[in-house]
Amino acid sequence: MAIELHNITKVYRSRRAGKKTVLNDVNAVFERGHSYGILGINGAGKSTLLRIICGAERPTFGDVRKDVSISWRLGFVSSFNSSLTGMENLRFVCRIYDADIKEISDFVEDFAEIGNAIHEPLRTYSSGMKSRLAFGLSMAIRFQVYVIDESLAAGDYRFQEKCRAEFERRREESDILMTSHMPNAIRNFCDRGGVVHKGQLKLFDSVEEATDYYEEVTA
Amino acid sequence: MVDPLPSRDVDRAPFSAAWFSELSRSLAVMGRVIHAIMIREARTRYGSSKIGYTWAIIDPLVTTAIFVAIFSLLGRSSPIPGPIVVFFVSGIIPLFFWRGAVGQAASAVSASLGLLTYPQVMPADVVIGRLLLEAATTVIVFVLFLIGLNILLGISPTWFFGDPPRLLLATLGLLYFTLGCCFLSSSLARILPVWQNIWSYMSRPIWILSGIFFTLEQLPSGFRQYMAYNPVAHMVEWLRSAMIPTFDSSVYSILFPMTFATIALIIGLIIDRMLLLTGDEEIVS
Repeated sequence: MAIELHNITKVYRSRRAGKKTVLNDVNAVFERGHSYGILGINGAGKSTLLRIICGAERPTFGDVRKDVSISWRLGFVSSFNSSLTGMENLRFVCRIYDADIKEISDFVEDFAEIGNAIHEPLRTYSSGMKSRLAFGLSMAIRFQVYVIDESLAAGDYRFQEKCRAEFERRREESDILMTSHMPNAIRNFCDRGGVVHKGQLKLFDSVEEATDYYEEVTA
Repeated sequence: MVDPLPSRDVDRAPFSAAWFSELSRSLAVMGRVIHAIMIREARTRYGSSKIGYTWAIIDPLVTTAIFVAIFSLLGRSSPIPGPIVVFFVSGIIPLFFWRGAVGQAASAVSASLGLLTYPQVMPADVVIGRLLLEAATTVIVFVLFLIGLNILLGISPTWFFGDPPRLLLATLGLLYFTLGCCFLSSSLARILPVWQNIWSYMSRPIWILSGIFFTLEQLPSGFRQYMAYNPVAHMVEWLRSAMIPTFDSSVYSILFPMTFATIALIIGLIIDRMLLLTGDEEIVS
């Protein structure tokens, strides 16, 4: 077992728009040793699903059982405080994950390539620098599952290649769970696929099957 | 490799070995999260300032000093035997701590939505972290006052340690009282954002009515009857009785503020739990 979703339902309530059911009674098992790419059109509920899986948000009903460590969404920067320096934000994350500050900061300085800016307040960063810092930090902490939300994917081509190479190196110990609305993007990282459509999640044993189903339901 | 977070295991029975190991792992996680939040809050409270946490000390120090100076210079005589400054400081410092902590708790969750996306960071951690930071700041401010009063006015610190065991108890009582109020304040702010404004209007009259300028004991009994509904006034009277050697009030209740705190704590925790279970709170994506 790695991650099990049991009867996950997520309803958003808004004063203006009323209730909106984003996920409706989702059951699924993500097995250890496989990387999953979740396809779905914009607004299908991919990001909600990821937030629920990595614990950023709670489902309205149902529960998530997991016996693996799961990263926060890669490149997520909203948890950073803009008046703290990059290093201070890094230390905070190290403290809550009980990670070695020296080891992590060495890795991030090397990986994020933001140089001395790491000692400057975050409000002086460009958005690219911020997300490189966030990426480096999530890569530095060794999780068993890394969660990537395509909408947060950042950095130039070279940086993305670097991330890919790093994931390749981690294949043995870490899996990936990512979302995208483009099948091509997940083929690079994943060996299994899934589709979120009309509040339902369907998992497949290969990215091809998932792609076929995705094209079928969205066509 | 990071360990998985303790998860709610459906199979474990309460008070079994597995239950205790899960509890201790959860408490360890909570401890390090609160520690991290305290450090972060200390740095960000005065975000744009270069000296950061130093401001967190200077700010209440100056405010308290100004209040104490004004009231002392107004020339009123102390309602109890001893220097008037002792009387004011013993009331203002606990009151400012309580007021500051409850105000901090009101904005705790809305200011930390980004942090709450880390699964191990819970709203309660932010509330407790802010409370402990406020407590640490108060202790530092108090010690600085003791030193300052001793040097400037020759007032011996023993004026504030009349009955040490009782003072310890009263301090723990104040911590518990503030904890209860903080949880209620934080939860109210989460369901009623306007609570933060209400609190800023409420907090001023409350501290005027909480016994900085008078003791409950000296009030005429008809008036005291109404004042006695304010649990904060009881806390101030209790602490003052424990601190000042020449003062021992007979009209305050310990049971009342403690009951108030317990009810506030329970309501606060219930609201917190309800918001967590429904997952209905605003999140940062």
